[in-house]
Amino acid sequence: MNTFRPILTKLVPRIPLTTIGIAGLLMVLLVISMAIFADFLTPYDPTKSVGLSLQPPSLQYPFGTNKVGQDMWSRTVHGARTMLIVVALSTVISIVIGVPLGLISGYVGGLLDRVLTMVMDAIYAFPSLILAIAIAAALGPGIINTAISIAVVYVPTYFRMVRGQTLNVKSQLYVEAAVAIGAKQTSILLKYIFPNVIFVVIAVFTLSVADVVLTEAALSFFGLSVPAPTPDWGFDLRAGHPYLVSGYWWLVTFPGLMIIILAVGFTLLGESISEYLGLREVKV
Amino acid sequence: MSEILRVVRLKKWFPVQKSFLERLLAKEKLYVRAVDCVDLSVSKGETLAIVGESGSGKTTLGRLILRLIDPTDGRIYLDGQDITNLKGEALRKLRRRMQIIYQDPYASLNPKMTIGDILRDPLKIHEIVSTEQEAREVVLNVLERIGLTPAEEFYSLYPRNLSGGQRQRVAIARAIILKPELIVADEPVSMIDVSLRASILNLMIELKKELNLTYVFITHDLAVAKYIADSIAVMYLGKIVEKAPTEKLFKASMHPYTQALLSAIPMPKPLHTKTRKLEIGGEIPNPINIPSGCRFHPRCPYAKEKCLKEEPQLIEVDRDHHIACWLVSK
Amino acid sequence: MSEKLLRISSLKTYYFSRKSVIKAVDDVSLEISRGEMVGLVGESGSGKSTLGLSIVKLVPPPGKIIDGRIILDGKDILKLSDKELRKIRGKRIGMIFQDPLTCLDPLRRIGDQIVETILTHLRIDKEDAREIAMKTLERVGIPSDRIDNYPHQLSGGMRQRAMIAMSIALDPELLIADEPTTALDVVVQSRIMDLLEDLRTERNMSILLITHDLALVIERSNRVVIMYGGKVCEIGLVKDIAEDPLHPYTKLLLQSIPDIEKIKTELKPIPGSPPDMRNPPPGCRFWPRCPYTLERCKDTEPNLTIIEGRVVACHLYRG
Repeated sequence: MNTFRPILTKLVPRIPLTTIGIAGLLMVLLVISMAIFADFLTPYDPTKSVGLSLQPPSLQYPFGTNKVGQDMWSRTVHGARTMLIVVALSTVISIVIGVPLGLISGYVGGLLDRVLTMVMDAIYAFPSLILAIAIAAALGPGIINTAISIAVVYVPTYFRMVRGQTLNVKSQLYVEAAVAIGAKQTSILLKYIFPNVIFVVIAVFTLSVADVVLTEAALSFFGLSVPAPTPDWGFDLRAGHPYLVSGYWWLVTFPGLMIIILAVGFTLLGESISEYLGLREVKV
Repeated sequence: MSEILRVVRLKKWFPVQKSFLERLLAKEKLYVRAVDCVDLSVSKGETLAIVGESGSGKTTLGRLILRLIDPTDGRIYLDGQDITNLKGEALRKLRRRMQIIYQDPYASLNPKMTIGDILRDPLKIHEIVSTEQEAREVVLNVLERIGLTPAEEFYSLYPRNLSGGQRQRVAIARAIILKPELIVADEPVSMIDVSLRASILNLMIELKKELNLTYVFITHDLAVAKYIADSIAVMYLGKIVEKAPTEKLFKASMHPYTQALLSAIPMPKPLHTKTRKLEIGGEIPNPINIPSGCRFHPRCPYAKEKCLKEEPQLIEVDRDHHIACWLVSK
Repeated sequence: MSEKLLRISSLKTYYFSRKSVIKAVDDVSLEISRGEMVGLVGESGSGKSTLGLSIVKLVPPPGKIIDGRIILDGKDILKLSDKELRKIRGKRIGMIFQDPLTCLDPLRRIGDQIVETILTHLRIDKEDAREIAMKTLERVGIPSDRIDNYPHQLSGGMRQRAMIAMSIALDPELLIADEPTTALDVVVQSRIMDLLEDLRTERNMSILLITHDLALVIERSNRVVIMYGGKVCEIGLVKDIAEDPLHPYTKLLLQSIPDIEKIKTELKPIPGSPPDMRNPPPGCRFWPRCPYTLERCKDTEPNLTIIEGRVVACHLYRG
């Protein structure tokens, strides 16, 4: 634990963000607050019919109602929760699988490395959406299954970046110095290599999380994500788009806008952070 | 004095990486013969300098002695124990007795560990101390000893907060904290500012006396070698060509390469170049293509027929003075 | 040899970052005569490399020359347009660095690179340019049959010679050499320095030898400039500096370098360490390490004083 605390405290505060980064941060924070305070912000249960069908936005229903009479405002706000849970879960799974494999593969090398790299390259070669769809279809609906489907797509990215940086760090003089003082292999991996590799994980996260958002939206658009009453932006897009032609614009606009805000927000924030990290760490 | 380190016919040949096609077509394997049959004996408490230019193999020799790389052939004995083929736990435990100081103070310290962490690590690995408190005390003492005071402050700093000279002191501290018997110092002052080199060298000399250390001091700088070493071994293209006590090497060197090196050192005397004794041309050849016979013969102004055909062995021609040259030995 | 070629007057080159300003070259004045070798000696933070780059206005951002004049033949070259400056760079002032690969393109043959340099400045035929390139390569000790080699096909010393060839092909009046031999073996270093010396006397070419190696400078140069913390400490003839150093830094520096001809040298290190150029000490930059510090040294910067043809910036020598 002693190794991790200084790393965390070092990374979290004091990352200077550009204006763009701050804009991105605000957008992301907006969505996060929606998810956290959903219950306080919405008067209605998003899964129940509470009003007449297809009502346009009004004082009572600020975002209108959908075909089955659910309040779109409540659905949109609660949708943030669903989205963020899936994003968080899939990121955690990707990291938990991809990072240790990348570390070990890079450090140990040899046959293990070659086999793992081949497997990861194979997964990476698949178009991400198609792969996610295939896995989601096979696993069936549900938040956890969705998270797994998405996670699998991003495991190779974490793996590659971590492996690459591990190879880089492995050849550094201070690693040989650790061998010279008699450190055990595990100690070298944990104390000398991992702390110098971890920033790469942050970089990968910031650059790919927007993509994860869009993948989740796409999966739920195809009905492969969470089951029916659970509020989900992609689901609402699908449910609402047949009515767009007839002029019922509020069914798709608000969920669509939220997807854009979250994805763009993550992108801007991610670019800003990774630019900062990239400039800093390259010199080390 | 008893012998702490002995190296017998030590070789390190690196296979040359070739492309698939080349491997298919080539008949014989090519090797970089970095260390090519070296014999050495170092007495306890001695400072032996290994002097050579880049390409001489001196750095590889240092790594071999510490078993950071495996020898291709030959034997290494630490205090009588054969450590040539040690592996795993045994090798790891052995490291307590021999340490290294690297050339580059910027690259040899883990940027993510504080100075305190860096110095506590060896103590924890070899279980020298049993409590955190004890470890901290030992580290603070060592920091004081090497001149990084106030020790408490330096304890929590990171390498990036320190200057090059300070980092090198930390590297020295790391090497001595386990109280090893042997330290290999690989060009420890080459990357340090000139005005600070003397303080690092003086520190090393003091520590040697206090802790009864033995140094194998690798350098390309003969002047530094003269200051710190008891005896000097000159390496050329993987072999030792001359070895003698320091004074003798400077007063009465016999190998043409040594004399060329001595002549080429810049001296802080105006117009000194006019009085140089021996000048040679060319450069150290690629260690893949070692010249036949005496490997120095293409650059040697005294080369004879025999030098092209047969390789001279390192033999003792005077007390403690070894040389590998056909001019001197018949 | 007494004709002045280059005069640097109160030059200031600073590096600007968000947090700090590094006053790398802080009010430096010196002169170089035709045909002389001037050694510019300093440690890290002394500003010697920045000074070299400033002369040809090649200071990388965030560095900027903010004050001073560099007079070449009566004209301040800092005031020249980029176009006019390019005519000077390469033709009248050449530059070589520690790493030949900063000058030599690894993907092009050395002959072609030299030819291109020549053609940039001279309106002649390609064949004539190639002739000059071949002759120059021969002059620096590279056999002309290697004119079509790539840099990686040459050894370290040869690459350095190739870089020298490229910089002297147009017969410059001044050659700035920034640590030209630091990465080379001492034997190769000696030959390269011989070459530079020969070129100097043959072509009456001035050389500014920038290095940390005081012994090298004393052995080879005519005059020495000692820099510390962005400022000039002392300037003098090599004989004077070596036998009778005035500035405390010069004295201590001489005492701290190992000299193999002394029987048992006692190296005396200079206490402390080079200044942090983001926050240099007030007054004389050297005072925290100086054994002769006066009260005045701690807050007032010493001016350059001229004593018997020698220049020194130290409060001990004020008239």
